Amino acid sequence: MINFLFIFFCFVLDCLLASFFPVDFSYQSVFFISQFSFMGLLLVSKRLTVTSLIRWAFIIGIIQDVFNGGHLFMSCGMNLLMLMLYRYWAINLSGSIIEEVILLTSLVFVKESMLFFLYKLLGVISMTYGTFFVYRLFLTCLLAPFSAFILYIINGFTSDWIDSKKRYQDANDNLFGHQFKNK
Amino acid sequence: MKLKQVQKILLSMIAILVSGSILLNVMRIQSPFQELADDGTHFFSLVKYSLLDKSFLSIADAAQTLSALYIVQEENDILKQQIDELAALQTLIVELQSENNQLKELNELEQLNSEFDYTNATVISRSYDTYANTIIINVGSQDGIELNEAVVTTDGLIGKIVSVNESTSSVRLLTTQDENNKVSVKIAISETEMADAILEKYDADKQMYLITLLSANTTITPNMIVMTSGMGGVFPSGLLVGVVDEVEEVANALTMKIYVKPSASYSNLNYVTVVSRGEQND
Repeated sequence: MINFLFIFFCFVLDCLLASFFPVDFSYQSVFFISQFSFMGLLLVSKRLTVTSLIRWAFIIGIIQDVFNGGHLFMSCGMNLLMLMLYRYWAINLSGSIIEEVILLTSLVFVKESMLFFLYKLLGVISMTYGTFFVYRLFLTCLLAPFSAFILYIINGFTSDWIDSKKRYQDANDNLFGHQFKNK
Repeated sequence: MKLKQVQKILLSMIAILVSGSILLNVMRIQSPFQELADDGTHFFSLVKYSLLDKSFLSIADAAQTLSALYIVQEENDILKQQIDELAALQTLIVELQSENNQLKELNELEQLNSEFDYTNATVISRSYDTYANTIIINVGSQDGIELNEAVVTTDGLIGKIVSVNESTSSVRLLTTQDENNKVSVKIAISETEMADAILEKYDADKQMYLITLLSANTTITPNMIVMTSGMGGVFPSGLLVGVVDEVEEVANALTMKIYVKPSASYSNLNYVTVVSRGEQND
C-alpha cells in the first residue's frame, strides 16, 4: 500500500510539473518532461520481489500507455527492461545518494533514448537524434538529478516507516509461545 | 538468477504482448485493444483533469500572474503599496482576465467567419510522454463534434479530430511526424491567385511544415500566406496554416519543397476551437 501511495505521489508530482512546464509540440523551445513516476517505480522496485516487480511494471506500464494514449504495451516492456537494469545495476552499488542519483539519471537518459530509437524504427518520428536531444532530452536530464534527489529523500522516509512498522510487528510476534510486547 | 515458473510465465506474457504490439505498429495495423485504450485515455484524462490538472493549472496561472505582477510592481513604485494590499485579489482578477481574453479572441474569430460552425473547448490532456502529438479536449459528440473536424487556436490551424467520445475528443496535431496526416492547402500568391499544395508533414528538425506544390511553373516567395484549401474534404477552406519561410528546388522533380512557419503556437495549448464546415457543407 505504501509503495502504491509513493508512486501515486510521484504521479501527482508529474502532473503538477506538467502544468508548470508546458510541452512544446512543435519543438521550437526546450522542454522538460518530469520523470518522477518512472524514478519512483525504480526506487520502489528495491523493496519488491521479482514477481511483484514484473506485475508492477506491467500494471504501471498499462496505466502510462492508457494515460498517454500512445502505443499500447510499449511502456510495459520499457518499464520492465529498465527495472531489471536498475535492479541488477543497483546490486553492485552501495546505494549512496550520489550513486542513486547518477543511476536514476542515467536510466532516464537510456529509457528516453531507447524510446526515441524505437519510435524512429516504427516510423512514428522522423526527427534527428540531435533535435531530440537538444529540445527534449537536455532539460529533462539536466533537471532529473534534482528530481532523483528529492525522491531519494522521500523514499528514505518511506523505507524508515516500513522498517519501523516491521519492527513493531516483529516485537509483537508470538515466538515459541512467548509474547514479546512492544513497550 | 534462476526464475520461478510463475515469473517465467509472467515474463513470457509481457514479451509476447510487447513484441505483438511492436509488430502491429511496424505493419501499421491497429491493435485490437487500441479502441479500448483510446476510450480509457479519454476517461482517465477527464478524471485526471478534474481532480488534478485543473487545480494545478490554476496554481500555474496564478504563479505566472504573480511573476508578471512582480515586474509591474517594480515599474510602478507609486502603486506598490496598493498592489501589495490587493495582491491576492488581483492575482485572481488577472488570471480570470487572461482566460477571458483568450475566449474573447476566439469569439472574435467566430464573428469573422460566420460560414463555419465553432465550438470552443478546453484542453484537458496533453500527452507529453509520447510522440503521438495528441491532445484531448472537453467537447465530444454531445456537443456536435464529429471526426476529422478542424481544430484551431486564435493563431491558426493546429490539427484535426481523430476520435470522438460522448464528452471528450482527441485531436491529432499537425506537428505529428506521421506522414499519413496530410492536409490540402493553398498558397496566396496574390489577392486573386492561389497555388494548390499539400502539407506533407511537420519537420521537427527545421521546426516548419513541409509543403509540396502541386502546380508547376508557380513562383513561390517567402512571406506568402498558406491556408487550407478545403479540397481534401477534411478541413474547411481559408483556415490560416502559416507563412512561407523557405523554398527549396528539388533536382529532377517538377515540384518544389516549401517550408512553412506555423502560425499557431504549440507550446501552451489551453483553449482551442473546433471548426466544422457548417453551411459550407450545404
